[in-house]
Amino acid sequence: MSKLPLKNAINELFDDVALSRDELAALHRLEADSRRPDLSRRRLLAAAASISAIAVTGGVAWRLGRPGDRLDQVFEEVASVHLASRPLNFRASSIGDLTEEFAPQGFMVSDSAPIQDLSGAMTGGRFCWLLKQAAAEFRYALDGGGWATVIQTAYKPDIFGKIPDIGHGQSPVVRFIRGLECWVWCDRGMIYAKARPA
Amino acid sequence: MDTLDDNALNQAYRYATALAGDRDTAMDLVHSSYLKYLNRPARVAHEPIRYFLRVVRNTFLDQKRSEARWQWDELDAADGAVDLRAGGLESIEIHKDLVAQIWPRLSGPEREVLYLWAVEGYTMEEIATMTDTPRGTLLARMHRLKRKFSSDENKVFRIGEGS
Repeated sequence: MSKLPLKNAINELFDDVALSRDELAALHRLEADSRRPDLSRRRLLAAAASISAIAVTGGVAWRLGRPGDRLDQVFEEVASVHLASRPLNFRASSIGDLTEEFAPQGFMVSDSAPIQDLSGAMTGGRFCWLLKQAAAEFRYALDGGGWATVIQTAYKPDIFGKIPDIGHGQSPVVRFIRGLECWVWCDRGMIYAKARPA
Repeated sequence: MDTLDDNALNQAYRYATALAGDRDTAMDLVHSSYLKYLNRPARVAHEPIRYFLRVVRNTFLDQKRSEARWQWDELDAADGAVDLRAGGLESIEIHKDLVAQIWPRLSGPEREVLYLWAVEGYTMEEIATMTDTPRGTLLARMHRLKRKFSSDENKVFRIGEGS
């Protein structure tokens, strides 16, 4: 094999370094989210409204210990994880497939009824964080376009606060945040969250 | 909104690969950086790709600083006097396989300057501006790289003893 000028040799090293179609699609999905015209303005208005609300109700909230804070954080993080749509660690088409991938890392992933109404195909999973707790993230390509995210990890009341348990007949908490419909609930000792376009 | 096309995103990915040293980290880096880029407060007046490469670099440095194991100035500080007239890397001829062998053993700053010079075609002045590095420091880095790619030192890499 003949020698090349160093510059050419380095160029050839990068010849096959390119994003896959899936990776490019994931990046372009970020653009779609940023295109929502009123998003930043809505956030500013929401922030202003929040500040006003805090100013008015701050004293009362302080005395009550602000019980909603942790749930607010959970919803915020669920929305962030969904919108970030970071590259998947594993490709999978079912929770069964993911169980095999997550098990060696000490994760016991499981299904829960509110996940089953997602009309789409699972594309895979990755590790993520929810209130600094390691969690499993699943992603679904929705039939109508866009994607949905499911997050699950062990439920720790001291970390997550009080979350409705569907095993005890309670309903998931549902909120609309950053253009998403987000659900949070507990089931058999796990906390679950689901996010999809509103 | 200034979005980037596939070519620009691939260009950023190659740069991220040069910085990070592996493709998975590079994809994460491009992803985080593109989120920042899309949510920036103001429009980019010109050369969005150049701006985006800077976002990629800053994001990478932020991550490395938090891991506290990225010593950008370590090598340069220890370098001492360098003969900057000693020719450049332009004159070196080398087997492609050998470059592939040496590449992972280079430091992040070394991979970055080589990438910007060889693949992106930037001049030393442009690289100095992009990376906020004094030109002399960059030239010293290039000089050190020349030594690493020279035939005598290649033997060290060939037998796998590293840099």
